Amino acid sequence: MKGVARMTRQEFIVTLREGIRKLPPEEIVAATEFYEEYFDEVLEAGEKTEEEIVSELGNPKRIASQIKAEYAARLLDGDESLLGEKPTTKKKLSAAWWVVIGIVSAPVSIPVAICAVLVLFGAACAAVGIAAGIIGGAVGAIGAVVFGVIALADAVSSGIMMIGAGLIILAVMAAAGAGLFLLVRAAVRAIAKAIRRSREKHRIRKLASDRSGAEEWVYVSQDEEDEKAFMLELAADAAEAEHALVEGGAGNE
Amino acid sequence: MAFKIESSLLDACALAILKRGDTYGYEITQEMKSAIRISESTLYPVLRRLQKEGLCRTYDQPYQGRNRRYYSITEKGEAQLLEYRKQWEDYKRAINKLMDGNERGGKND
Repeated sequence: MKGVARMTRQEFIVTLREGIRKLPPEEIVAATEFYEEYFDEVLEAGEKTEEEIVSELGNPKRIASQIKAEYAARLLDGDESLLGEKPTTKKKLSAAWWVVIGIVSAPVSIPVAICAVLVLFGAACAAVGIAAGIIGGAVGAIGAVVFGVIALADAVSSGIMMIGAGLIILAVMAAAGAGLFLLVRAAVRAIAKAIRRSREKHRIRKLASDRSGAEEWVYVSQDEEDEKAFMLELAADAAEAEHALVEGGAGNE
Repeated sequence: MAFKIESSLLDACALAILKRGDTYGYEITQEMKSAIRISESTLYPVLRRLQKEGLCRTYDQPYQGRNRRYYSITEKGEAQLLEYRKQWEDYKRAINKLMDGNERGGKND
């Protein structure tokens, strides 16, 4: 709290907003309004200065993480619909790029990450190989058609057969290519979605765990003096025990 | 030495305050502080949670050229408060049973 003692109301609000800028706008507005009103109320009561209120409130960064923790806990408590789906940013980065980012920054241990990268790399190689095969097949089929057209002059029947076979293979290859494309796209999307979700959940969980310990409450009936005396007593006991140990050690030498 | 107050107990206290009548943030803080030592910033997340769970609702009223946001307990909030009160009684009874300081009967006699 010492660090914020000289903060103005304006700085307090700005820092608070900065701390919760990733929350939905509605949350930012609500928190800002609450604290602006709080300042107004206390100032109107006329017993405290702006600076005193700020230092009483404490570090706005801590308040921001309290608000974030509360928001995250609310998400975890059930409102899963609030999770993840952000159509605007979603389209900006291609799905494949998300996969790369996800793997690099996903909160998994390094060996697992390496395995995942290798498996994905293998799958990508396989996809490229199959694509090459399809392209090769297609080129061969086109060759057969061309050869058949040339052969038409000499042998009509075998020429037609060549053209027909070529066209059939071409059609099959086109279908295979389209199938492969759809498969790869679906796989990339599924992976990207899974990674994004897991990262989001991890982030929320981390935020929610900040909430415990954020609330330090004491009963007023609990006398602070008693507490202090108790702590002093404890400290004295500890010092005594340490002293005895050192004495005992010295005596043995 | 302190007993930590969990967030559900804070919710219960805030609901109990609202049950006495609509009031605004600063006043709720003051009322809380009249009974328990709380940091000034603890109340906001509590009120926000109650609001989002539909246990209280807010409305604005002009006051000295600005808005004052009033909090009002909802029907759902009253039902929840009733439940909290019941559970608090159970909790109190259970802890009191252990804390009442009576000597143990039997072999010590």
